[in-house]
Amino acid sequence: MPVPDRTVLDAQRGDLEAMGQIYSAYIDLVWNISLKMTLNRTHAEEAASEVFLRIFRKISKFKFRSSFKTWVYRLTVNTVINYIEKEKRRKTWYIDEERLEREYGVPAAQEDPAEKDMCGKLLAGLRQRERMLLILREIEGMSYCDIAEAAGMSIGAVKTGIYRARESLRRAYKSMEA
Amino acid sequence: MGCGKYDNNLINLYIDGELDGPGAEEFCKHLESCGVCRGELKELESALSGIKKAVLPPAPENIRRRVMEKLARVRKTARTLYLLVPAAAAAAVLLASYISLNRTKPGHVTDYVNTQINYLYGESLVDVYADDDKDNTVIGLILGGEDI
Repeated sequence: MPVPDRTVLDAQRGDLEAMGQIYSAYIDLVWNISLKMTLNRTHAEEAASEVFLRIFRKISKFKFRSSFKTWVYRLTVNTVINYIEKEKRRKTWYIDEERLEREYGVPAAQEDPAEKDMCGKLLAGLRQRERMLLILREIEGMSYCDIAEAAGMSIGAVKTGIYRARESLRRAYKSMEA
Repeated sequence: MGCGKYDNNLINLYIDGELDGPGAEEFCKHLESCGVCRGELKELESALSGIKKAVLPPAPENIRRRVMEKLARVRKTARTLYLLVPAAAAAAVLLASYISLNRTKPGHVTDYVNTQINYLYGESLVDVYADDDKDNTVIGLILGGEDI
């Protein structure tokens, strides 16, 4: 649920309570993107923390020219990608297959066991940029225009990127089926 | 990669609901007769539904704690700086005034240093060259010729 402009203004003045409300409104969004991008719970926790600290550090620069939610998406995308790059440079980056299975396992008993863990494995097979584009489009349900703004890309580049990402995903699915 | 007549980009447009008019009708008819395109569409739809299905664990509460604690810490530091900066500025102004006042008396520092050097010579170094038994090395000079 979007937060009112009043709350954003209060947070810009350093009101901790307003910051807490912004946190509550966007934690699911930030957590979903962090976890699906990093595919690792520990990394996702650190990345999500960095996202919120960045949001509150930069909130005074938000000028209400775009929606606050799109602005949050943009910071989330950039921060999580930067986090992954930083961790890769530090060589602490890994995708743990067993943890992936535990953390992405669909818990409902009636689910087809073959589908269990499919999400994590499919996402793990994609390149970082492809994964991000698919998360924003298919999971977050964003428009191409909003994705372009959030990812800092042209609409044409977003469409091409999503087309390629879907192709990679389809191939990954096909090889899993085989 | 499509059947040759249509490439996968049309399947993408179809999934996005961006295919309309006669093109859409034609593609729908084609799907009925083309097993390759129908198969690829089905694979893509299943793959997309696969990534949408996962039920994620809720965000751990320690993220909120970590973020809010850090914010409170940063705020405290900012407050301290807010108090310290004017004090530091005042101290800098006082120091600058002192230095600029002393600059108006050019001989002041030099006179003071010369007095100190003369004092040292007078107390400690005056007999060094008169007594060959004394230690003439640098250490000896520093110790002022005292027996050790």
